[in-house]
Amino acid sequence: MTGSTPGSGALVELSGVGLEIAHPVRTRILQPTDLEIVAGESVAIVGPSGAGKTTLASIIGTLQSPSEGSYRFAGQEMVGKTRKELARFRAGQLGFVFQQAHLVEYRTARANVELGLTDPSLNRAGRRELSMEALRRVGLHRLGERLAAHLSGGEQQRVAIARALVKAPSLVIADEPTSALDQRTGQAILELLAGVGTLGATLVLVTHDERAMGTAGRVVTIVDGGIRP
Amino acid sequence: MTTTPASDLASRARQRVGEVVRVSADAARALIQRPMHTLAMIAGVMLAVASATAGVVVADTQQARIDLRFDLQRSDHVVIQADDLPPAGFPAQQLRRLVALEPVTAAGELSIWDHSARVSRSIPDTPVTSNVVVADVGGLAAAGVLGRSGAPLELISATSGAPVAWIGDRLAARLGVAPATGSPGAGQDAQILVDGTPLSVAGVVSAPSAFGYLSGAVVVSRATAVEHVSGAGENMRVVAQVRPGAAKAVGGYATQALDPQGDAGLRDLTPPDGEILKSNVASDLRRIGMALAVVIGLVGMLTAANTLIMSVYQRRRELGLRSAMGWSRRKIGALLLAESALAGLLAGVLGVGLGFAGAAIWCEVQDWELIIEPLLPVVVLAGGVLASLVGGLLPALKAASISPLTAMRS
Ligand SMILES: Nc1ncnc2c1ncn2[C@@H]1O[C@H](COP(=O)(O)OP(=O)(O)OP(=O)(O)O)[C@@H](O)[C@H]1O
Ligand SMILES: [Mg+2]
Repeated sequence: MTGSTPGSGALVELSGVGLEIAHPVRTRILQPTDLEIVAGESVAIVGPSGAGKTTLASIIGTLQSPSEGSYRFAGQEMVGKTRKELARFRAGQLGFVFQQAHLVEYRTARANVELGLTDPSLNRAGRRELSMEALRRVGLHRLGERLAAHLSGGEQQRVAIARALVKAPSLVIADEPTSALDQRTGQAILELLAGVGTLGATLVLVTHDERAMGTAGRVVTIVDGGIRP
Repeated sequence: MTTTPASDLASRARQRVGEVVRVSADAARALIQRPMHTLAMIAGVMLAVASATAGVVVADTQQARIDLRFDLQRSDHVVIQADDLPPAGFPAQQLRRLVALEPVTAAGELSIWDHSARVSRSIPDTPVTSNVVVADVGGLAAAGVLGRSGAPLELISATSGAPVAWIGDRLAARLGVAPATGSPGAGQDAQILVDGTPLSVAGVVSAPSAFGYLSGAVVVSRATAVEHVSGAGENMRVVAQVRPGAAKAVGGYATQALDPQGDAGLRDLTPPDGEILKSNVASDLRRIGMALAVVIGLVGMLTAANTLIMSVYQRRRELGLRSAMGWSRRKIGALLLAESALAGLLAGVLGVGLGFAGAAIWCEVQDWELIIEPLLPVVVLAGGVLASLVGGLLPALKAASISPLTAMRS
């Protein structure tokens, strides 16, 4: 893809992006927010529960559209795009890791990773190879043929990370990926995500985890739906 | 970046096909890996396909049976009964006019003289209750009666009042009467008592099933009956054998020909035409089978829809995740429809097998030969896939409308 953009050169560029919902009652969830993230950066979004961290991450991930403001990704305006265009954008550029791994239980680890591959020009062998490589990166290449239902919670989250990374996205968005795991396992997951930068990807990590703030290049704190300066 | 339009088109087509294959395989796995869910999903449609198959096969087979039965019974006999005739019977000249008709192969008298005569071999024996039938050569021929032993049947019209009778083979067996075989006219030592009147047995006859009562009857000429057997006759009938299908027409004409003045009170007793009855039964059977299948099919469709909706609800995080990963709504809908179509195909194949097996067992028990319309499996299979697809429409729409946020917010 063409990463070079005219102007600032930021990968993610939010200006005045906010979210207000009308139903059931008019509620402001995100204050108009400015945020720039440059390519290769690793940003941790922290803040108290209910502050709006997930909301901000989901807007960056185009899982929902802001009600105001402008969101440019690699120089391209995202606000106003159709659902179909946004789906194609996510397919090409974004990788997600959620609190739950959401694996298809009756498929193998490798098959789950393959679901993350959205490039239709890949053949079967290519898909398999990329998936095994992604599993190797998260240390699970030996469990590739194991059913997802038989994996431990930590292993499932690793598969989810492999699924997010397999298409070599330019931006990885992770929303509290360690909150369902114990301390040690969570630590390992954070280290894996910290390594995303070495693959050339940008990381947005929503977390409560103190340790994550240490590994992140920048910490953005959200309170009451707005970024605290 | 520059490719020729043709190769670009070709590679895009190849990718499309690849996508379709992958989505179908994805759907197939979802079905294979959850067999109980799949069974719940296909049960209704499968039963509908099975009942449609079995219903039509049994209807067709039964149809063939009915065709056969009606062929046997096809009204090829005209029966005319006279209510007011003198004991002399039908005028011979008018009977000849009936025989002369083109579709008539044989015609003559075949009347019941006494339907409860007491017949025995000798006085101390327990009598057998039998019909005494008055017949002439033409009447016996029209009924298909054959001489089994004793004197030839043709002699019946030449007995001119002598105390001679022919008896049916069933009656002969019960009485233990066996006139000397192979010696017509000779050795007629067998005698029977009919209501106390001795008659000598000239021969034994057999009758086809349509005139089965003749097997248990005593057959005499009109002159013999008038002279020797008590009573005055119960009815007077003319029976004519005609070309199949011509019975009704001949019957109508014959009442006119035999009794132009209407003095004899003739009634046409010709049985109804089998042809019309047959086609009614045929279409009714199939229609009932089809209606039943449609009703079960609708129920099956609803079952499939319901199961699939619940499955979409169960899988909403997985489906939301696919959406977050960039699957278009169309592709997610297609995934669900592929699942429905494959389930429908499975239901169809199993249902057709089940239906044929059921019909085969039923027909085996009935000892019928199975009649199978070659297009039937294709039609019911397509019906099953269609029902399943229609049932999958709403779940597919539901799945396609799952927000990608679902994956993040659960
Ligand atoms: N669609 C919505 N309708 C109503 N309220 C919403 C909606 N989306 C978010 N909210 C509210 O907005 C606020 C911010 O939610 P969000 O999930 O972004 O918080 P968060 O910072 O991620 O919290 P947590 O740390 O608990 O995950 C919450 O109070 C939430 O209830
Ligand atoms: Mg949150």
